[in-house]
Amino acid sequence: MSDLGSLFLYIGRHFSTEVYLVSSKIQGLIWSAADVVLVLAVLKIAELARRKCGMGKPFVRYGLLYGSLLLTPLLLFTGTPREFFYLESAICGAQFAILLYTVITERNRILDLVLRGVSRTG
Amino acid sequence: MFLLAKWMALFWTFAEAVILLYVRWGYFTLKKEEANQKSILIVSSLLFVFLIIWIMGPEPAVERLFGLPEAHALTFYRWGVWNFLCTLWVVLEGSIMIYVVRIYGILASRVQKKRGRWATLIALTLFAFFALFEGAFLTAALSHGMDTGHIYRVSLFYIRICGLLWILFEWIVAVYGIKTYSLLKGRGGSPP
Repeated sequence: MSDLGSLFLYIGRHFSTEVYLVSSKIQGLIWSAADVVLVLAVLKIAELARRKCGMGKPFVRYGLLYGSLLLTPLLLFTGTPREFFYLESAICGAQFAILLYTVITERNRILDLVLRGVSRTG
Repeated sequence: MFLLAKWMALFWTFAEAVILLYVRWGYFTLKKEEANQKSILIVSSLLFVFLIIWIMGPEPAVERLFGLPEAHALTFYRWGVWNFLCTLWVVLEGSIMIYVVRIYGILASRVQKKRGRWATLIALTLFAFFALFEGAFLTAALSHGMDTGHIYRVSLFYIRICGLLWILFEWIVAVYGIKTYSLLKGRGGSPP
């Protein structure tokens, strides 16, 4: 029995659904927190760019982000991997939808803002 | 893979690929270099269409491919597809991270050294890891007569390995996102 084969067999015997769910909840909370910070940073940058053009805050996207933030702690209360997946789909789905919409609709404004930022470095 | 998982998998892949294309475009525009965006866009679109057909289309007859009993082979194949998708998302996030860090470097006026092909290196390393993992896993499944429960649990373990990399890459992008916002806010108070 090779060492690697034994390792796979050990994982196959002991990495239970319960262990998977607990580790998923821990990881899910940590990466969802990262996603919230990341989407917030992108929205703040977009807000700066929109202000330059005389536009207001992207309220709907902030609302979606805060909604996903409220859902995140519920990951702890999921009882099965499938429930975890449903909730994670809602949370990450909203966050990725915000990012996707923002890069598509704000790309030129954000690029303009960054170009101005670069021109001020010299 | 149930239907919602398939749709979400395609949505996440599409979203991350589009974000990567825009971040890459932004980086090369800032550097005033040719991004070769058109050919990348065509190749990415073709790969995505292939992915849609693969994920949403009929399942291939895998029961004789792996030398495993039929139910085991199906379990191995289905989880192998999901683990490939997990690897793909890590690759896309890793590549986004590379360009975000570089854009911040330009903004922060860091001296632009010759850049290595880090995004390519991340992609090659992670896909090689996936292939080696699945190859070794299949060998172990065959030699130790693993049942579907074993195959299921080893596959779940692989997802958690990917989870560690998602956390690492996403936090790096988040931190650089905040740093970029702070820089831009500090410089954007008045018209140029």
